[in-house]
Amino acid sequence: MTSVTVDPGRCTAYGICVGIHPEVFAVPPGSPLTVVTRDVLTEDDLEDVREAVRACPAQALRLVEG
Amino acid sequence: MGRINDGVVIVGASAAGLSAADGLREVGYTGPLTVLDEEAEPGYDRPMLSKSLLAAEEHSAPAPLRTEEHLAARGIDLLAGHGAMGLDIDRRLVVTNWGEAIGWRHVVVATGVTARPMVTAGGTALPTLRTRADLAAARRLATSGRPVTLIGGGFIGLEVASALRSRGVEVTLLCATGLPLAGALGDEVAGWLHGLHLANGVRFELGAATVSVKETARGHDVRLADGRVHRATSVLAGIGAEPATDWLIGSGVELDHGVVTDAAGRTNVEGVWAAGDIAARRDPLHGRHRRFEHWTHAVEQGRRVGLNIARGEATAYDAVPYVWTEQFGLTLHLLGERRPGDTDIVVEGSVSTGDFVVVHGAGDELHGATVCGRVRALRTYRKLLRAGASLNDALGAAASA
Repeated sequence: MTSVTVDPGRCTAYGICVGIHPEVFAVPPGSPLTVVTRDVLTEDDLEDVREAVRACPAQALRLVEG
Repeated sequence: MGRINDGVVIVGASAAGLSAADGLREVGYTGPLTVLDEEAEPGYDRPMLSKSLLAAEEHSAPAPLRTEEHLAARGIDLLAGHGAMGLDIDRRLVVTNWGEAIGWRHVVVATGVTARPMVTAGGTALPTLRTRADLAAARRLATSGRPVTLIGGGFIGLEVASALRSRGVEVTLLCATGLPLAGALGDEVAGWLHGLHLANGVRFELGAATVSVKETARGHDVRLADGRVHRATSVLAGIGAEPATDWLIGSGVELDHGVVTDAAGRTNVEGVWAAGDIAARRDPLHGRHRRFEHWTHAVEQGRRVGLNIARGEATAYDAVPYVWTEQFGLTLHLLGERRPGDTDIVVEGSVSTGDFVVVHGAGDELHGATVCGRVRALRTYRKLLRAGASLNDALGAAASA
């Protein structure tokens, strides 16, 4: 089971991750943080989620592979 | 670090350079890895400068792109305050501003771009917004209480206008074209964006290319191409960027408004690579070299160069261009690239409500998409663009959304 986590100490709700994979990441209106909307990632999600992890300027995302 | 030519030296510690370093370690490169950072403080998330950091009431420093733990865990030797002054391709050395000569087996040029300077008649460079130091000056404009004239109607000019208006600053924007960003967005979306700025109190001089700026007792006189003179108090220029290639002139590395590379990131010199904003690739469509100044492009292309070096490969990097901009609380996403003469079709929502997907294309070719609000569409259109889908495919995807 693979998932992605947001470090609340680093995230600034920038939203690049939302631009890369909007079905996994969301920034609700007014939210100071990105939220993960899909707890368990599918094979199809992984390539884009990995790109989002790399692209995050705050380096706030982490892929947890289990 | 030293004269032994067995390691990798990355020149530039922003998105592309650091991603190249991570990419090297990601696939098992274990040799020496040095990153030169011209700025004394570590690389930071530059896009934030013109977005939330300028608008914020409290000054906050831009966050570093990598933690010290991250760099230490990967054995990445980041030298802050060390800029490259020259490249010796015969002896395979980078010469720094400290007089060091650092040997390399591979070198990655990731020095990016610098803001194109606009200099007054008195010889003073006008403030712009590209670096951490620029942010401090721009924030002083935001708190001075004086009106600000912005020269340039590109992404930076519009983002700064939005940030300054949110701080209550009077803003006039001088834009050389008839409508800001019309080429990138198409007339309908660009017209809506212009309206959004007007509704938020930004004043515009459109079709007003700036010819010269002269200091006066009360500020600046900005002479426009049509002969008019705009009397400004404070001025900030956002007129584009230029590749930071000065240190490579005469090195033997081919330059053409950037460092010329192939699709894999290789230059004409064996062992010399380039990535990010500075890398200029041949564009088959226009038959010339061109660069991308996009955050995600710099990250992914930098990583690809790192992977290629570590694996001894020359895999091409191809991705769909993606850029986003934040203005007055709305985020506009641009995928692919609209071309001159393209038809713009609203496929979801409506432009006037700021909630839309517009696709750009010609004939049956899909060239790009502009999205505001409807972020779920981004992944769909990125996949279509990556797959080389037709305009009809895009219309079909919208119909089934």
